[in-house]
Amino acid sequence: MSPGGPPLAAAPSRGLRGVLLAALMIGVMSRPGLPQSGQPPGSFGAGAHADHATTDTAGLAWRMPPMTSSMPMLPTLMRLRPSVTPFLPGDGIDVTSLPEASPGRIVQLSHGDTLTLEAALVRRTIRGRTHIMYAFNGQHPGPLIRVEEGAEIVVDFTNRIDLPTSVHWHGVRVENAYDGVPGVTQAPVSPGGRFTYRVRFPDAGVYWYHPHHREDIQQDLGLYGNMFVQPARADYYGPADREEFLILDDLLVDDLGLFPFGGERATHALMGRFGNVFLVNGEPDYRIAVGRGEVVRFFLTNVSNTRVFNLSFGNARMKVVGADIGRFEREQWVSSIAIAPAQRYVVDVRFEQQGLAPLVNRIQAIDHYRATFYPRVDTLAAVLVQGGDGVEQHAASFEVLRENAEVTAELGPFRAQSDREPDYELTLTMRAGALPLTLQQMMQLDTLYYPPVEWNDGMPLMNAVSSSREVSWVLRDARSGAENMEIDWRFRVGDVVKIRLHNDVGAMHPMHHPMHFHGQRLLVLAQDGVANDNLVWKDTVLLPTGSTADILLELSNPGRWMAHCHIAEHLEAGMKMVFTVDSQEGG
Amino acid sequence: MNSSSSLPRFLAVGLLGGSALLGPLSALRPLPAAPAGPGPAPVRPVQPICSPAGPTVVEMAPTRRAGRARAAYALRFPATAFGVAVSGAGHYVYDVEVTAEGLTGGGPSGRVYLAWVATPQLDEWIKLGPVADDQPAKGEVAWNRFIVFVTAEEAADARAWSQEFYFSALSPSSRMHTMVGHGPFASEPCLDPRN
Repeated sequence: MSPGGPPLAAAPSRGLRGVLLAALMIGVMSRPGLPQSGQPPGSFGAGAHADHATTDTAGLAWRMPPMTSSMPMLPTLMRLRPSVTPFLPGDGIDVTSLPEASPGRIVQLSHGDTLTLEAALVRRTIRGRTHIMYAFNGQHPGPLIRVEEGAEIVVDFTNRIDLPTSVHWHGVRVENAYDGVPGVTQAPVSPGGRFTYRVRFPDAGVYWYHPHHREDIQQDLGLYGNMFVQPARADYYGPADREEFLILDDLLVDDLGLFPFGGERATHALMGRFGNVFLVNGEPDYRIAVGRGEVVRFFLTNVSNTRVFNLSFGNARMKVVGADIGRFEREQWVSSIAIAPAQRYVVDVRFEQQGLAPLVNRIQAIDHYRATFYPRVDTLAAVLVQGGDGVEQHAASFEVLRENAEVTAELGPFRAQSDREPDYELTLTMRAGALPLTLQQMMQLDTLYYPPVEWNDGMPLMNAVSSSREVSWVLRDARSGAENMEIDWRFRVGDVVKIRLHNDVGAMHPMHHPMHFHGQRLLVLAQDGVANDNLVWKDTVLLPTGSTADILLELSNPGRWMAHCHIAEHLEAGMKMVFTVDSQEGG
Repeated sequence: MNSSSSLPRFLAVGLLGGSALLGPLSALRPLPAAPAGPGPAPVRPVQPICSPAGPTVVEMAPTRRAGRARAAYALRFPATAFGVAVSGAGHYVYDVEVTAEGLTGGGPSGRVYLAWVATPQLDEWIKLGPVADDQPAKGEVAWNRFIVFVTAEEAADARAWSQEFYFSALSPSSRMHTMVGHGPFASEPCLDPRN
């Protein structure tokens, strides 16, 4: 069994639960942000903090997380605090002594080049408020590394932040020793320490790099950047007027600044840490200008801890071209892009109307208290479509959905394995123990429906107070019963395994999971019994709550590799495993 | 998709109430037994596992007219590039399929059974089509909450339904309940006018 909290005591009957809840609720509903009798002064909500501290870390203490709805709260809930120590970087550091982060820059590298990469503390000013955050090479996001397909570079990395760290080259089939996973492929790089990575790029496409140690903190505070592997073929993608790389993120702030992280363990273990300030390429009001009629190729990367975005650009038409590791068999028109943490999509958009085309995240959010859906639209960035005669250069080709015959030919032998039985099954589930009784009761009450995707944090306080001390997220090998790091799958190079991923809706609080497999490529053959007729190589698959997906994992890269949920807090709460690929060819 | 405000609200409430206690049933579909195809070598064969990989299936509540007949609807995401099928407005997009057992090909007096999906307010609806023992009715729905039902109509080309209901069931999302509304006070209605 995996480490984690003790199992919950048997749940009361539904009738008893109702009585318990009624007793808890009678006449004591309160609203967040209002000081409550008996609470420590200055510890709740914005209203209790008229005097802002000069930095996020001054007088660091837990407080109510930002609440976005008028949800009444129980005083017993409002008094809850995470069972871990609050943490923010740069404690005791004069923020003015830190350099202001600059926007990310492009670094074009050739085969054999060396990149010096440094993770360090920086000053970031976002919406007029100054925070201490992290950055690679002082840039937020980190430098966009552009290389040619097949290139190999050296990255001389130095850790100048206040936590151990590492660099993981997400999606890139690197040599195992350089995968950047502490405890599996390397020791963590201590503050002040260095590590030299050799990163080879066998596959065209868009990738990203980030720490693989306390991602919930380090990645959230800015340690991420894109890599673009330029295809060897000039016609790999269809024609476009320009390329734009958009890194999507969110940051959790309140009137006091950054909401603290858990020091010893991650908070927000139930649902992951949703932010309330959206960032595109590190900016809350990112803008680009394009000409009317231009076809813009967007390389989208979701680096948020937990949020799944549903993106569109105003009324501009979009077609999805590629995903994590390459192109789809066929381009297809889409009305929006649903992109989960760690995933990438390549999307061609033609802007035919002059004016502003906002990049929006449009969801049907859930108010758990009222048990209602409500539409929510957040503007992440703006595309200013300039006037003039209009650009028609690629208008005709944009109308054509390309069929990538060579992709279909490459994937044919893999598709032929669609109908065979899975070799393995992983059940994705969770255990919760030692949570406060009130919180347990509230979680157990609404057990009749779980949305396929939690688009928003519908229970910010309950989520914030749950740490990986109380919540364990579990990958369970259905055949052996082994869980998380107990799982010991062994393969040989050349093997192709079919894995059924089953997201257990019967868990106490099920949730979607973006599952990432390191060092290899995978295909999503089917979901809930529906065959996928448009395959693409991926490294991260979104598994909605209650869903079952059959994936085909190609074992092409020897070594010990990790697979895990890419919700940073779920990873910290145990949802990870290791599989070994021996270099001897399979048969 | 049609729109009408002429149908009484009590009808929607009655339909919702009639199926509110039903839970989802897992579709126990056996995995197809097919040999591994050509191409990359699969790993060594192992014992069969596995959890079912099918849709969410919800048994529909019969009215007295239905007698011993049964009906169910299945929900699944249509094939999507993203793992979750969602509209531009953020609504889940589902393929819905209504199946029945024990219904004859034609309804009473030669009428035909038709399957429908509608919003809880019944102000918008989609006709899925005729349903019989060997004839499932299929369609696509993208609403936060909805109700699936089967009626008997005089003709398959009916544009709206009559009052002869045979089966109904709620969408899984309709089971999302609040702690207040479904505690001992039951003070909150199931129907949210916004959805």
